[in-house]
Amino acid sequence: MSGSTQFFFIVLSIVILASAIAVVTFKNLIYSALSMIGSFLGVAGIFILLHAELVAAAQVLIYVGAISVLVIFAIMLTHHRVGDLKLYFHKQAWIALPICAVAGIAVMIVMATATYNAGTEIQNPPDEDIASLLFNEYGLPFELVSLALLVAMIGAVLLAKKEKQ
Amino acid sequence: MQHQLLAIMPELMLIATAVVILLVDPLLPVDGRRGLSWLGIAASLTAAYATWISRGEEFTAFSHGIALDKYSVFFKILLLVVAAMAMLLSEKHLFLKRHLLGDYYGLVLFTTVGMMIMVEAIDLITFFVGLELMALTVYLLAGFFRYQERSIEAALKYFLGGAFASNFMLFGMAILYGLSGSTNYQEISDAVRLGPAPAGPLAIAVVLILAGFAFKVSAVPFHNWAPDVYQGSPTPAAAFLSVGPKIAGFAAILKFFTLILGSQSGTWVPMMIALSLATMLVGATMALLQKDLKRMLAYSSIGHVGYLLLAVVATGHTGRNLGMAAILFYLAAYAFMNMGAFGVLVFMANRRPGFRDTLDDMAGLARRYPWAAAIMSLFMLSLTGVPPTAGFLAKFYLFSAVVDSGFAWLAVIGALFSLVSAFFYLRVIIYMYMREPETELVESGAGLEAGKSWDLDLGLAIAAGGVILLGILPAPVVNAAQDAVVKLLGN
Repeated sequence: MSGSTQFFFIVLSIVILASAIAVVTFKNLIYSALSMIGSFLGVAGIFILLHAELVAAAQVLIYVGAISVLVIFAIMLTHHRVGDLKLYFHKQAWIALPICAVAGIAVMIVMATATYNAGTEIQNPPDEDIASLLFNEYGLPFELVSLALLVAMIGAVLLAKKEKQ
Repeated sequence: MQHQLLAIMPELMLIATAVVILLVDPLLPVDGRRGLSWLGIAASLTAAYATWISRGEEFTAFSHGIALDKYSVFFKILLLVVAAMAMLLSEKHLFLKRHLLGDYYGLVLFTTVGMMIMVEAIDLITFFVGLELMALTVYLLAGFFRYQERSIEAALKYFLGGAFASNFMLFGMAILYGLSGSTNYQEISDAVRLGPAPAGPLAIAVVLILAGFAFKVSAVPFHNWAPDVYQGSPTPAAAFLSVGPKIAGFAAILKFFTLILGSQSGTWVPMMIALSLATMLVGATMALLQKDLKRMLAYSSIGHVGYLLLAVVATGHTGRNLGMAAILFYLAAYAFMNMGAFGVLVFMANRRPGFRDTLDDMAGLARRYPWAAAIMSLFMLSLTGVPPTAGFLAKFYLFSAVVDSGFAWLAVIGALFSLVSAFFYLRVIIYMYMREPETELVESGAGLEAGKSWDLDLGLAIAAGGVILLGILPAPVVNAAQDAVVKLLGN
């Protein structure tokens, strides 16, 4: 990892983590949704650092573009009460925080000191290769994902639909 | 190559039927939709038959994404039978509650497809997609009575917990990929066994994946969702999701820990022992305190997960084949007895509109419904492990596998907890036969007629028949289980 890559990685990590924390701490849902966009953009930046430009583009188009807009629309359409919401489940936070911190730091130390075997770094993999992998080798999971999305859509309709009676 | 699509023919049949059900459902009048359950049942049974006739073939398909072997055939048939039974139990209940009938059967079929993929997957990506397909649909089944607060609460709790569990598991899988450079079970196994895989990250991956699985099968300390979800879900849905996901989960746990991490048993056996002891302890003690039968059955199913985890410990030691076969047989027995027990609750809810699933409401049942009481007693005795029921043989095989692998002390502890569990199972029988109801529940003649349904009766009869048959003639299933575990593809 070159010096500038490392610098950008640290900057992006801070962006991702800070906006992720903002998502869960903001009491106004719209602010949370907007912070989520920051987190998504940071992840897209990490993909660019990894030379996965296609994934980065998809991340921006789908997550930043489509999903965030949908989330904001959903909040606007369903959020009748304007104003701050109360945060629930907050009683355990002070017990959870130290435990998570210790576990997280332990995991980080172990992970950072290990060597990995995830193949070589690929410079600009041709998009055709990705397409061919997706439709040949991973054809079955690819189709199953579409089934999972179908189920999610059916479920959303089922739970939100008004009964005619 | 010509096998590719044939390999997933049963799944394709279910998907096609589910889509047809979802499309036809809105066109039919509410009364006409009841026939859709039979379409779903017919599809499950046909798919089970299609799986059965392919039992001799062994091959991998979709670039080593799934493996068709005796192991997946065993589990797929079991899951399809469970799905068919779930639909038999559901039909009348949903009709009485007037709840969008067709969608339910479509969702049950989609869940079954997800579980079947989990069982036959030998690739992390295929497995995870199957898991998510199953998970998404079971959240919906839990929240199917969306006008009842409890049902929605159950779905929300299940969804939030499940999403976290899936993410832990995914993180663990990503680490495994990072260590081995592959998502294929076989290649990961080789890399882990031969390569100098660093022990630290590998242990973290094992912990994360185990945590994810523990949630999915409701092992302590990841069990807290189970009582709330089973209590809040529609009772027939609770019957299905207390059995199906556990079967698929254990099928996948066995594949994971024997195929991929077989060489690392030193790492995961101690964790598995701890999980198992905690699960048995919480399952047995908390069930004692429950007055609500659905919660009681939830803790009882947690207890059974504890016994099953004991046998997973055995597979990590010397008793690989014996332990695995014991788990397969146990899951088959568990499927019948647990679905049956929930089925009797569905039966009661259909007959008595005010039925609250509590012990008190079961009082005096024997006088009113002698057959239902007899059959419930059978399921309770089987869950306890009393001969000559399926539950007895299942526990017998399981504990002897554990003893064989050198963990006699664990088997003794398991047997002790099983003795404790006798108290809360037999208590149900005592209430049904020896207690008088405090307030006589009035059942109008019309209500009685409306609550009758021969498909629910058929479902209960199949469950009872399964419990008795597996108890006195276990040989075919035991043999099938032993055949299934001899050779797993991808090993």
